[in-house]
Amino acid sequence: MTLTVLIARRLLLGVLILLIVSVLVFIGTEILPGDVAQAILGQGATPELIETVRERLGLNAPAYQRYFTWLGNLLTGNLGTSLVSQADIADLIGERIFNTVLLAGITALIAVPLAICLGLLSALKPDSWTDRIISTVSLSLISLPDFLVAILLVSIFAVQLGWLPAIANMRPGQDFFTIARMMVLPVTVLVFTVLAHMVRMTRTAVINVLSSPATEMAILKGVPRWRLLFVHALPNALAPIANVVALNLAYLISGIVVVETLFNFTGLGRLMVEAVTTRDIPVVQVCAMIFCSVYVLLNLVADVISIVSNPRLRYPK
Amino acid sequence: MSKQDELLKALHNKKISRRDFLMGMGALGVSAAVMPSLLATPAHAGEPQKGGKITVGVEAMQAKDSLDPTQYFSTANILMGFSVYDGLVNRGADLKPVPWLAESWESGTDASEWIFELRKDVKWHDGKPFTADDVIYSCGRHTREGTESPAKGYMSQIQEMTKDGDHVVKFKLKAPNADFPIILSDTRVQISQKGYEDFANTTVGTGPFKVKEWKAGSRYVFERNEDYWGSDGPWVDEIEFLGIGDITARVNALLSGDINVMLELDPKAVKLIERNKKVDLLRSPSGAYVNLAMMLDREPTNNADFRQALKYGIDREQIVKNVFKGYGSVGNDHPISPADPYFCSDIEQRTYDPDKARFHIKKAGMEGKSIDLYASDVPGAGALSACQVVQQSAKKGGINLNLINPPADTYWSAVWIKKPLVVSGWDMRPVPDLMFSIAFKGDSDWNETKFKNDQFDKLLMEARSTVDFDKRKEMYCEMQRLIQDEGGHSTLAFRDILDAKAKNVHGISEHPSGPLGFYQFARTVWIES
Repeated sequence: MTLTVLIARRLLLGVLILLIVSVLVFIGTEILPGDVAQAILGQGATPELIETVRERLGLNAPAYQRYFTWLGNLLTGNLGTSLVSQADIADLIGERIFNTVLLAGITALIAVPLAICLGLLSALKPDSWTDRIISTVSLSLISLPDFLVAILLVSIFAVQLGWLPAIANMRPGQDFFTIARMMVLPVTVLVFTVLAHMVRMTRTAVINVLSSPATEMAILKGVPRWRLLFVHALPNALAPIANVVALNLAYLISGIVVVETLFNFTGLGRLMVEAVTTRDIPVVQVCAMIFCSVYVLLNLVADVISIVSNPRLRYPK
Repeated sequence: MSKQDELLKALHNKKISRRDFLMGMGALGVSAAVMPSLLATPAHAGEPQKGGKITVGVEAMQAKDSLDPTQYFSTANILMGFSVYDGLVNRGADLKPVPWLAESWESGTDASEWIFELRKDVKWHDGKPFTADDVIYSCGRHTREGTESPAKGYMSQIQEMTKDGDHVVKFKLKAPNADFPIILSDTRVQISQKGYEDFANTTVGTGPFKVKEWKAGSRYVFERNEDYWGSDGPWVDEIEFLGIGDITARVNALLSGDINVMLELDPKAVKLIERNKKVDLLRSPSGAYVNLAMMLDREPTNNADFRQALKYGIDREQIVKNVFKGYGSVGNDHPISPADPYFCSDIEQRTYDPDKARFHIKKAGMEGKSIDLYASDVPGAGALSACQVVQQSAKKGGINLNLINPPADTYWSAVWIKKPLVVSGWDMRPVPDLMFSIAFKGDSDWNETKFKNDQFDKLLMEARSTVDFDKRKEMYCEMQRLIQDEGGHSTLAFRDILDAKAKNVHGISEHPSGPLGFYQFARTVWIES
């Protein structure tokens, strides 16, 4: 089977998954108690006002009809408008996607190489002092909840020392230095959160390869240690590492609501949570679709990396 | 500048002695009780200075924020509205109507006709002059077909609006209402331009600030209106509103200097603010309250003895002390606060009495029976903890309350006025009439306890057409007594309004009706450089 066919098949499967997800998301949002009319009006909801709002928002049409209208619009690139603000969802999402991708990107650029290096270092001499220190520190960091780390860092570096801003107030037109200053604390917290997972996976995968008969053979042949690690072990361990990196990247795009909230970061995660509380269904749906696409895409990339790095996977047993 | 402000300024510039000041204030009818607060207000820490930028950390910045006065829903949204718009009538800290875009008014033959004279020197941000047409159009937006305005209820009492020249508006009401001018000081009745319907971008108003950038849910920046008609501001160059939903993040942002004014402080965080030398607490006692609503039309709260038992089973002092950390005051099971001129001081304060509670719960035959109490922080921060205190104190009186914390986002639609015993909360209304008509009048949609009392409704109507203060107060007193005795309402506490600011920010006054100087700090705030 060629690589292209494989990728094409995976892509097709991804589209199918997205379609199923769209149905699930739609059903999920239908089951939610209360609707946007009640959410908008709050304590002020009288039956008469609710009817007025429902009518204006077109909520009285049957569910399947609304689903197909929405799907059709989505496929033609029309993300729709927010029920709550009447704003174009593409506009709402655009700025936040940029922010989220920036935050996730910077975090990944720091965390991924760092994690792989630390993982390799650990794997080089398992149970040595270096390994123990790396394992202990990274596991401690992941055990601390991210909100605690965030609050600690903010109260030290923003409130006490005043070196960095306490909130990351992103907006268009800011210069590089301002953005960099704002990013330091959230990125640090996120690096702490995702690091351990990747370090552990790298360590385990590399140790696995290193304990194989092939490596023993290489050692007996007198292959230098660095060569053993980078030419023999790492490529063989790349598949699981790529997978765990993909999972963590997807998490960085979709699951960092706590960090976004604490740093008041205008990102996608918070948009979705807010949209759920205000019953802004179209926004919830678009966010869910974006997150799902990110998962599908990143997993696809991880799989391709695994296959390229390990030709054996191309031929089913 | 008002006479009061002049006196204050003179005092601070040492032009007059404190004694002269107090006498002058007395002559103006400012009572001795409010004077210490006037003197303590950091608003008058010196001569206001122009310039600088204020960044306000508000509780939320949401996609549904709007500059359409009929669409306001959040505190932050109203703050922004008052930066851009003015009302016809403003509200003093003493809850009396203050001339604003209308410079004077009088009632016609009876209180069902009102004639408002408008200011002639007011211009819209786009340069057009402000006229009677704008008033008629924007007031009409609250009652027209298909409106979603929460002000619809009380604006519907207007039968007809006519103009007499460019600067006189006549309101014809469906029934007499002596409170009509103060009702126009409601936060939704802000005047927008005639024919104006697109509020999405740089909306035009007459207010102290112009819209510089408005992007719903993400960015709100306002710049000083150099041609503002008023004289007590605006001073700062720019105001930006920044939504910081998380209370910890908001306090941190203030402490680190990322913002210099913050809205809505949790009583628990007050100590943090007081300990820090760079920031000040802003505190206004108010009539906003948290209450239990016991529905009179269903089991088990339709039992008068059960209600009586619960009213005796609440340790109100404890709630104020432990939940609101002393930043509040006890209630007396009716909605009128001691800050209100119509507060009835003759009614004896109801106190915690477990023995009486036990007596009544036995009489109701419900001793030890598990009763569901729906508790949540949705009606106001601290409401849930207040219910926990109630649960504990009622237990000593033999009342067994089962606390249920339902999902927050459907609290108003699935719990409130549905379940027999829930916690609720209300903002202060400028006059008892509004509070009574919304939450206690027999036929109101929001009558949360289903309180139906013919005598109460009759008094409400009578008071509305009574112009004499003492006579009205007598009627309102009787109504407070009726609610206290027979109603399903139990006030858990009146909450102080708590906000905070950086030390060098001045000019934010206290007001019982709303945070940051009744939402209008934008006009008067200034920064000491």
